[in-house]
Amino acid sequence: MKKKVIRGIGSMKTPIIGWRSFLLLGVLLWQCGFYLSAAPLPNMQQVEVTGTVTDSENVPLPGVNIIVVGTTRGVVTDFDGKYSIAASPGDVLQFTYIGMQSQQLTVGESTTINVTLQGDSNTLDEVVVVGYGTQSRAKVTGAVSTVKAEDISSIPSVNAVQALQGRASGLTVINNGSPGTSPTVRIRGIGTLENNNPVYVVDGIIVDDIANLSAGNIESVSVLKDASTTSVYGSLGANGVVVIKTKTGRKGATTFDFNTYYGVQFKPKELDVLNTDQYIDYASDMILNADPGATLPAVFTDPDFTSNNVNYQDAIFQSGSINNYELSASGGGEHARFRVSGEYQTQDGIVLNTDFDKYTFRLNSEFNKGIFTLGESLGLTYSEQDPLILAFSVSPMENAIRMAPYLPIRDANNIGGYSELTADDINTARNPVRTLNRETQVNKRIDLIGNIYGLVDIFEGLQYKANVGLNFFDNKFKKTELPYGSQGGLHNQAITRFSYVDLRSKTVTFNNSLRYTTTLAENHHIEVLALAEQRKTEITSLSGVGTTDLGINDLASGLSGGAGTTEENRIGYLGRLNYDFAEKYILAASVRRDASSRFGSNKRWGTFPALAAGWVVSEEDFFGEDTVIDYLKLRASWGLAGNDKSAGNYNFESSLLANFFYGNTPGLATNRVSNPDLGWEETEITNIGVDMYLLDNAITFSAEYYNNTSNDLIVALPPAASVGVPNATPTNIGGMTTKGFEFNLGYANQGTEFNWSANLNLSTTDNEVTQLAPNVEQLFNGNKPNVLGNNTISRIAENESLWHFYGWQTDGIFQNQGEVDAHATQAGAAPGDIRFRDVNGDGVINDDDRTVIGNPFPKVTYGLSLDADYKNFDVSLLFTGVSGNDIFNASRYYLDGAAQLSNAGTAVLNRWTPTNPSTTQPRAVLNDPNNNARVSDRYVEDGSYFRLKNISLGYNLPPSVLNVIAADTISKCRVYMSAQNLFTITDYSGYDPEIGPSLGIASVTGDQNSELGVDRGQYPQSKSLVVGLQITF
Amino acid sequence: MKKYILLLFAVAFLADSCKTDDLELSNGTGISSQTFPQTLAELQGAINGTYSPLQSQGLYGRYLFYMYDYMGDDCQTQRGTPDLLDFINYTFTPSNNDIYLYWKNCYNGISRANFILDQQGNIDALEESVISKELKDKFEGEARFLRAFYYFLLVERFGDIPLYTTTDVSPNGLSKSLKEDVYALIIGDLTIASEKLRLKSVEEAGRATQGAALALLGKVSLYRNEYAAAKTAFDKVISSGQYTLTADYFDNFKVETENNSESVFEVQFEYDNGNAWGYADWGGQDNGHSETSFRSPEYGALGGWHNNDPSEELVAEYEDGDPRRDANFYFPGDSYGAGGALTVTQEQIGEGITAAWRKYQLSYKGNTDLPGLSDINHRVIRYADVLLMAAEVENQLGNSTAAIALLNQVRDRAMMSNYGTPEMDATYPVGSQEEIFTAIVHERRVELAGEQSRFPDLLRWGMITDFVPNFQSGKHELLPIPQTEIDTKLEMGSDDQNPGY
Repeated sequence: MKKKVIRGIGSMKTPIIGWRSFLLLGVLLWQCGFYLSAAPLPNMQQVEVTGTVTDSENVPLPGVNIIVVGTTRGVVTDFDGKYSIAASPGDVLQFTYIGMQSQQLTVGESTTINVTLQGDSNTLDEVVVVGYGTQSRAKVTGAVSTVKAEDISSIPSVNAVQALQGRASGLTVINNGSPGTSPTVRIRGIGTLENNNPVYVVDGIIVDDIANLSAGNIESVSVLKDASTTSVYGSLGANGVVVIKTKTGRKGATTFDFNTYYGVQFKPKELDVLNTDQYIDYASDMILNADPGATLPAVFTDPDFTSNNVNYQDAIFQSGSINNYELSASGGGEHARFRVSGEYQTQDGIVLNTDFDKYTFRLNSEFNKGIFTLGESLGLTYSEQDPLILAFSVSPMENAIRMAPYLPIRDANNIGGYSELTADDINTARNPVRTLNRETQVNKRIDLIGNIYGLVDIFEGLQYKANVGLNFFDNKFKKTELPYGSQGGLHNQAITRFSYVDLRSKTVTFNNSLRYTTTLAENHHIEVLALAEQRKTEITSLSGVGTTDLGINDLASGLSGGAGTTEENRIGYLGRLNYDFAEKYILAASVRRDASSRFGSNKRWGTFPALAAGWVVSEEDFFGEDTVIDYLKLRASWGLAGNDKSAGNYNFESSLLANFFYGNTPGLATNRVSNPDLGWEETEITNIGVDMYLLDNAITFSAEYYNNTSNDLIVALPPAASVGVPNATPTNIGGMTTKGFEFNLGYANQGTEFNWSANLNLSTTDNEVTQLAPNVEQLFNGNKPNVLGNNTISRIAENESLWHFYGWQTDGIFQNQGEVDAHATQAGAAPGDIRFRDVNGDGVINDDDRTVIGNPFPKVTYGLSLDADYKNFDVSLLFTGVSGNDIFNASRYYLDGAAQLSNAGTAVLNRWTPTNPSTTQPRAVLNDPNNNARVSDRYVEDGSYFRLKNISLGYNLPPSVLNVIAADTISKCRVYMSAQNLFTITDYSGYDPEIGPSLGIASVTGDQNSELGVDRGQYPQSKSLVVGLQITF
Repeated sequence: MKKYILLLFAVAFLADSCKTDDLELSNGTGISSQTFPQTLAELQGAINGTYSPLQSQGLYGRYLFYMYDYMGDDCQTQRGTPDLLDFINYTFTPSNNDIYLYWKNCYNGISRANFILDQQGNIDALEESVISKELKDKFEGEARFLRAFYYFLLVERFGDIPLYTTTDVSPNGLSKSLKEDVYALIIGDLTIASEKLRLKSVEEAGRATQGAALALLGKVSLYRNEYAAAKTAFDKVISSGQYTLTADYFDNFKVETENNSESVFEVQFEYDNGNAWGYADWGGQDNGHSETSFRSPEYGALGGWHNNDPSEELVAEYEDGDPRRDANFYFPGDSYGAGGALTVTQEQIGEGITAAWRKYQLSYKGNTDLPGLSDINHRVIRYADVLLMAAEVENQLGNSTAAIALLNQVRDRAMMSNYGTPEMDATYPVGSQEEIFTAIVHERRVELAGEQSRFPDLLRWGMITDFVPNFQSGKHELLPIPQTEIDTKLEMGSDDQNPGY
């Protein structure tokens, strides 16, 4: 080895030998030190410095090498990570350990120096968890991003996925402020018209969702992005894979960790809406423009109302809080290791009556005797969520914008005590404060993610593993709608209504594998894996609606409801070969055969191959000695991966729908044409990458280019009317490509007291639909609420980006009748109305003039983290951002769309009137005869933002203080303060440019692409301030 | 030793070779089409589902009666939705939504009939204790009758059409077949159905019967000028003894006297749970209850939407004293409503209009046409129609005596003078085949007013241009094939559109 790459002395496969040599070396050094120090008398008074060395998870590190810089004195830590060394004040101690950043500390007054060594991200010995195994970073040929445990737990979140934002290139996390709501996660953009959710793997078991996994329990997250890493998951891998390993106990003394934090979340910014005087003026103008002889509503002049000025946004937003307690114990000996933890989290949201509570328990343990190992990991979570309630699919934020400001929030005469607008008000908004107080929902959910595994080391290099996993959840929803309003009112409900859903899902996974690892002729490293896997899933649902509260556990008769069961079974076989020659030439090949019950009988089995190669150029002789480049690896991979999520269960066959009555007896009819050829969606993934370390490993750089070509995408082919069935037939016919670049740039500066590092990751993505179906020109989101007024917002069409915004282009405002007459025929147009562009030039403005008006996909997504520590202080910052995307601000349909009378944004103060010839804001006229409010580029805004996602400042109490508080008990005590979303730079005018999962679309299993980037008054993320305490003892 | 362990695990590994049977899953919640039918209820359900498109908006729930009545000369109006007025004005285009629904709802029924006929092997294999042979036959007969019925509605209006005889097709469907092939299937189905169906006397009300299959077979044959075949079929209906004319003509248009002795085939409408509006087939989706008809509110002047008035020529066609005139129409001064307590005004009927519809109006018993949607069954084939069609067949075959006798059965029920008597000879002599034909034209018009007969009659008699000025020969014999059908089909293009559209 020629370059100064930080590497372990022993190879990773034989860590015991590595430790032994360290121990040996350490003993030698210690003895040398002893002799040397015994000879010349020291100038200064030498003291015995003692302490414990731990890793970042507070696990004691045995075998850490400690020397007094400038001398040959040295020791190694013992089994419990403890050391003792003679040193003088002012001496510098250097702590080194393989795979860790070395640290130098100056001996001061204290004779106790406890050290925490940080994992060294530059090292090629980093163990990367991949599908069905692990790899050292040196041997990785695919595209894998990793996120460290401390990065995940540095952001207060009730959902671990939230904390992945900005941490890995190619991973897009779109958060939503609603407590307990899962973010949208996309790996390398989007590759199918249907379900783009990635696969999650926890401790080797494929699970549906990791929403209830606790951040504190996660040891590492790997994001698998290319075919060589995802096609081992066969028909599931095409959307990318997030592989999670939970924390396990390590050999060493038992350590306890206690973490807690408390934070406040601040009310979000409010949008500028009209006050009562402005509203009445605007509303009067609107009514009279439609009918100059109209009588204005009496309330407009009723002092009981006009004296009010209510901002409903003020009433629905509040300051929130987040609180967390976590306690864990871990440890173990030669034959058994464990980690046990419990956690309680609670979050009160910034919108009235939205909150989340979660209890998490986890036990991981492993036992071994001789060649046998048995282990398990078991996580159990109970959570209660009070989600955001929509009123007839409209968010409280939108209703808050729309409410007439003269209406007081409460009205004692109404049932329930809240005011409602009446038909006389013309405005049809629903009181959001009433909605949030009178319509409540609680989702009680139990999650179990667990697995038990056995290992047998049959002989040197050959290992058998069986892994059985269970993923179970039971989610009970109960919604209570209390009566409100007054009899005959515009909005009223006379009865109490209860609705229940009980959804249960159970997946049992069983996989068996044989792994053989060997080295031939010293440099030929070979690993072969053969694996068989079976997964069975059963989901049952019960639902009911009633007017009496039967309790959430009792879906008895008396409730009208439904029940359903759906099952899916899968079988897969995997073979994989990893080979390298002296870690210089690396090859990987795998093939998976997969079958799924989701696929039609003619296409039940699929084959998913992958190939990858890596070449460490810097190891070659021709690579000069003196270049700045320490390490250079080129790598490429190709393969096929599938996606079976879009297929759904039983969609290949027709089934009989009931409810076709004739007379008084029920009838049945088939719902669709069967498609026995229905199969997985297939993506061909090509990846080219380079890894470089420069300037003595201070700089790390990697870059990737990827090209994902998806074929056989499922498009629901509408049946010809003469086929006589209602539903479309899912057919593998569409195609799209997604490509982009990813860059990671890291810098680390190791000093004696001041260390700092910076990491930037940046991803680009660009997608295009290449084929829909010969007879399908475009797809709108037929049965999902992707509409505004009477127009759909998002569309799929060939040669365009997925789910682009599709509507009319505006072209200013008609200033006079002459301009109206001169323009193409535009029904209902009058001076003051918007001129829409005659895109197809046929002289008529109609549906055919709609065109692409925006793209919800960012061109660039990035994250920048800065970490520094000085003495006992540490500081870290995380910036996240996107650039080049559009947001369809659907809230502006109400704010300045003027489709109907509702409160509006202050933009309407500048509306067109004969005396105010506005060129931006059309006239206000009831019923909007020109349909000024139609889906158009008026609502499309630049969605780019740059946000300080997190900033934290921590202080480790020095040992001297700890010793005073509790001698020899507390090994670490850190207090910190952090702030989230402190500032956001954006031109976006809505609450929050980060448009999370859409409202109004089922979030249980449904995909949410079609509402991507459409802001319907989404739950905004708030600024928050957190104080926390971490203690290890 | 190690080798044995290896062997042990290798075996365990392979033993896991998962059961491929597990991959054969079918929807456990719904009824899988793959295993249909398991029970009598399932098969009965599929049959019911095949009838239900009859009730949908595109057919007897709403638009069928408009289309046929508007295209004939029985009515007048310029109210109604643009898509409907297209029929009276003959301005319909391939994008007319009502034509699309008519097309789609017919094919919904055909698909469901085909689904049952596709499963005939499964059905035949079921034990006698599950479903008896007699019921199996009857269900097959119903499926075939309904398939023929829907195809007849289609082929008459569209000519060459896609011909499906199985549900095993691609979503893209089939291209057009020649109309002769469609007729062959219709005649074949009706012939088999007439052997397998039950007699009306033993069948549940509202279902297809032997008589219905034969009457339809006769009608199809008559429309094709195959008089001998038509005669055979009509004779069987008449000689079956299953049908008589009701004493009161108006009994054919009321709720209380549904499925009476004159009813050969009628579409059942019911108020279910008392919520008529909720059980209408809004939008023609045919995806649920479609249990009520729009007929009463659509045509009604007494609180209805008043979108169809009887034409002046139709009202004038009636002979003096014909009770069918008062049964079919309201005139100013007539009483209506519960107990006849209310009086019809000219204002209700409309300025310059002589009469309003009474047939199929709920105002015969209620105070308005619009208490909700109508639950009056739609009589598709009445015995009176069978007798008149049989008379036409006999006349074409030269059997004038038989023809006159059949006509007079209908006259007798109306208590009107018989043809061939001196008082009738003054107005409608029956001395020649042509004169008998003229009498048949008259009698069909007054007996079947507003019953979707006049337009197809005029069309097949070649007389339509004499009575309907908007009708363009060479174009309006056929409706345009819905544009969506052409657009969604790969192998169909504008060449496949019917002439003139």
